[in-house]
Amino acid sequence: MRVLVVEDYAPLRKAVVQGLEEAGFAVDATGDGQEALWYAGDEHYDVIVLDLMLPGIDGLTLLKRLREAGNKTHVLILTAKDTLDDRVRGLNVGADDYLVKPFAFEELLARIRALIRRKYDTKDPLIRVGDLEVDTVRRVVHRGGEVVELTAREYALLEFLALRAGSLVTRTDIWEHVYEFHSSPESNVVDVYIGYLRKKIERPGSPRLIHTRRGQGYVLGDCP
Amino acid sequence: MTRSLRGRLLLSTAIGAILVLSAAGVILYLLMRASLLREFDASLLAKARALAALVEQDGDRVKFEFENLNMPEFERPDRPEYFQVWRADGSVLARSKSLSAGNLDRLGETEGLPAHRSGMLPDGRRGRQIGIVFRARQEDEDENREQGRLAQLVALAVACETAGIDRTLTTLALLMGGIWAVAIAVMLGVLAVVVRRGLRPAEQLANRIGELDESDLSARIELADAPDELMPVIQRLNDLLRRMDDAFTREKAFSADVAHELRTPLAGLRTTLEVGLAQTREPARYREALSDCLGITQQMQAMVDNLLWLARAEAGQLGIDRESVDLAELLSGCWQAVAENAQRRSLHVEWQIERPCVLATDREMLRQALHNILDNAVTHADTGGRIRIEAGDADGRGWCRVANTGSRLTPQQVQRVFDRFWRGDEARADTGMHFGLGLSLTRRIVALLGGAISADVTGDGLFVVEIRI
Repeated sequence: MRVLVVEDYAPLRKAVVQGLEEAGFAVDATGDGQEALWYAGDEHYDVIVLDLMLPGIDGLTLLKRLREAGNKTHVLILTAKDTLDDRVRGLNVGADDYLVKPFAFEELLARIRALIRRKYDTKDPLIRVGDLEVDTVRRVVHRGGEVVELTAREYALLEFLALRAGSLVTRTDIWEHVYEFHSSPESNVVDVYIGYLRKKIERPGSPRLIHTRRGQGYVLGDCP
Repeated sequence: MTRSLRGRLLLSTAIGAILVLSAAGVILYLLMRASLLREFDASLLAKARALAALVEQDGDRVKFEFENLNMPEFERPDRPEYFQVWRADGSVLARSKSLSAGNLDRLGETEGLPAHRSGMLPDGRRGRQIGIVFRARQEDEDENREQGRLAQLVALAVACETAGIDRTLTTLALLMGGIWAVAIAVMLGVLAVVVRRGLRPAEQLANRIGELDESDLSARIELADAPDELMPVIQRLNDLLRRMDDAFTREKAFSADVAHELRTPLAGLRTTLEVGLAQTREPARYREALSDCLGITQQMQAMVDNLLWLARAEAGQLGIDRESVDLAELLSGCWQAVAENAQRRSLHVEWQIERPCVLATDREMLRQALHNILDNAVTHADTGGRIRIEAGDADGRGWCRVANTGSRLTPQQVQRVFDRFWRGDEARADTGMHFGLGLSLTRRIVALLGGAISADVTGDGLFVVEIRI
């Protein structure tokens, strides 16, 4: 899942980025409002974590512009402003959630995950596809009751596919939601990772889980 | 003694009024009594004189011409009056029938001076007696004088019951007692009302003070028709309230600012620590996290120091210690502290100092102000940009101008750079760690030193701060 962190206080930005990356998110970050607007423009982010007081363009103006432009990315406001008025205003401008600094990182993670579930229209943090279980909170995968060991990237890819189980997921989708902006993987890197995933979650004798739609992308679980 | 002002006033005025009323009553009673007795005595004296006229001296013999007496009051058996006449040698010359064999006390020693006494009549009734001493009338006065015979002294006493006076006095006493009681009751009532009325402003004042909400110090005490005596109290109270309100507002703004501004670095600290502890890492990664935390802590400490300094400055707790200060020397000293940062940011520095520029001011305060201005310039200049530092003195006042390139502030925003914190929803020019506080502090210091500070931005992004001390 891909997250944009917009925070002008560098030490906090650094820690949040590290924490989110270690939690398996693909993270882009900026401390400048103008830059954030440019980043957020392509709508590939699952969640934007947004500070309000920013150089360039302030957070609320930025959010207003995104919403005016029809951007539907879930936005979590992360700010030191804690009055009722601030919170109401933030939510009314189009934020989906509001967290006041200082916060527990666990809570930030949980709220980001909740926003992602909302985006993919699922309530249960445990996603089941056949006998495959993806626990999006503990980030643990079981197949037929057995734990499947995955790398962070493999997990991120599987979680993205699982959240959209039964639907066609294009390589571009995967590209845009699992990788950071600045990474420049090889053109076939998605295929390679799909290969790794297949090796780990599919057993000989069991039905295939990841189906390839030639020239289009992949589907996890039953075909539509 | 009661502790209530009303109780005290009521008690003391009531005691005073009762004393006055009682004294007046007693004096009136005594005057009435004296007047009644005087009248009574006058009638007794008239009676005595009438009786005295019946005493006649014939030669050496004194006689009382009883047959001429036509006074039934001395003879009636019911409530009679009494008289008795003594010769000079004390023998009884005559006595009223009513006395039968009894005696009246002989009263009066001096001729012509009647003596009075109240007491019991022989029959046990209360009465009053008069005694006079006189010379008996001589039948043939001229003849007696020739023969050298003097008129003899005769004593006469008349006693009469005083039931009438006693009744009148009793009635008077009862009447006055009644009037006294009613007057006291009415007066107490009036006093209570008057005292309560009189103390009502004080009571209202107490109520107003009681109504004051401790969380809202903006309220003032307003009393319609407050008496002059209470005006100083109300004024002082309102002054006190205003001062408290000011202090409280300042304190509230300060705490809010601190809480608000410390939240972001605190969040940085907490997240760095939480993320760092989330998994086992290489020692180098821990070292990096710790170093980040140390950096944040130092920033927070600097901010807390600055905030406290600012709070003290605003509370007027800092004294100014003037001495001779070389502005150029102080500036170069301050530059040392930020030179490393400037070098890291590849800033180009231009100096233009007119020498000598020596001021009489507080060295430490000016150092802090200059440090803040230089630090602000170094922090906000664009990487590889320019900083220009100018100083000099004109008309005995020193001035210093620091300019940095790369400012993105609009002229409207420049007006707010001296606010304690960059507030509102406008974009901040840089991380809130530096902005607002440093220049706000500087403005305060400059004001304390009796100087002025201004900021300006030019179209090409040149941000200029100028102070005049």
